Amino acid sequence: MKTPREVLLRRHRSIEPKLDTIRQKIRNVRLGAESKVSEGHVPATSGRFAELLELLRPFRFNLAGLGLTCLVILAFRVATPETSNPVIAKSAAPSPDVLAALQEKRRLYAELIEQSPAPSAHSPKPTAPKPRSERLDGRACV
Amino acid sequence: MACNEHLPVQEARAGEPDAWDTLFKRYQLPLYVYVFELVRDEQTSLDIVQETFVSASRYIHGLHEDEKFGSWLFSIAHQRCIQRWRKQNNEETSVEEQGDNSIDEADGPLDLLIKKEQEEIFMNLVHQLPLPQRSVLLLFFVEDFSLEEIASITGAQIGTVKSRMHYAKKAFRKLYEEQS
Repeated sequence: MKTPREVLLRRHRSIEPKLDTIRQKIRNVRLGAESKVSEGHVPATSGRFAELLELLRPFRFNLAGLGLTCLVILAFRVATPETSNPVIAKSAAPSPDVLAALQEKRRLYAELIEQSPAPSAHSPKPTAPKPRSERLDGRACV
Repeated sequence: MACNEHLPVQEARAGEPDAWDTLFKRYQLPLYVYVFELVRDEQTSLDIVQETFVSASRYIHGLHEDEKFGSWLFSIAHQRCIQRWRKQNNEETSVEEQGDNSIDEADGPLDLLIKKEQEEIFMNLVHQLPLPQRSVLLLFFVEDFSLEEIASITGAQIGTVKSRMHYAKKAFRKLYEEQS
């Protein structure tokens, strides 16, 4: 003897595999996406998220390849030093030795200028006349 | 079926797939039975069950009393059945029978114990009932819902549900006695 509930459920027990399939499908498609969303504490727009995933599913390999290419390009840029950009290099500050050498040269040059007679471009400095006795030595008496 | 059973509704609301699995597994067959006995078509019934589960997972946040998950789920399924009926222009009670609040719920429980050889008779009797009465009786048989819960599921007034239940039990008892 069975209750009406038992009779009704037993009568339809054979449909359970199909119901299990539906349950699994909902779990995988809908609830799988929702659980990922809820972990990130994002409010339930997960239905749309699942739908977006379904939309992108046929292109998953293309998207993966694109992502991989971008990563390779990025890695290449990071690894290669920056040489292509023209950079005007500042001249390095001269070392103390070089400075000392330059100063020495300037000194010598200055000495050289003082020793050598002044070129004709410059008017001669007026000199004081020689004494009369010295002037008569080289000249005939009249 | 028991009101005391603990259902992981809170966990399901938090989005845990295992909780949903438990809930769906608990209700999938009773829900299917209810829907099938109303629409009498296997594929349509499976579609309605799937749509019901999807809706439930989407709108769980609208359920404020966790212990009413069962009646809430059946109310979604019931609405889906009505939509199908309207689409297919099936028999539908457009004229609401007069609710009768004077009908006492204690008009005798329908304690039935069915022998194996009487199961076909029982099923035929269920199918002979008009849809509104069939709906009420099925909800009572399958999940032992109270009159208030059945009113909530079917969207009818409590008096109307009482009336339907009264006449359903009466008709059922009469037919059952005649045939057995």
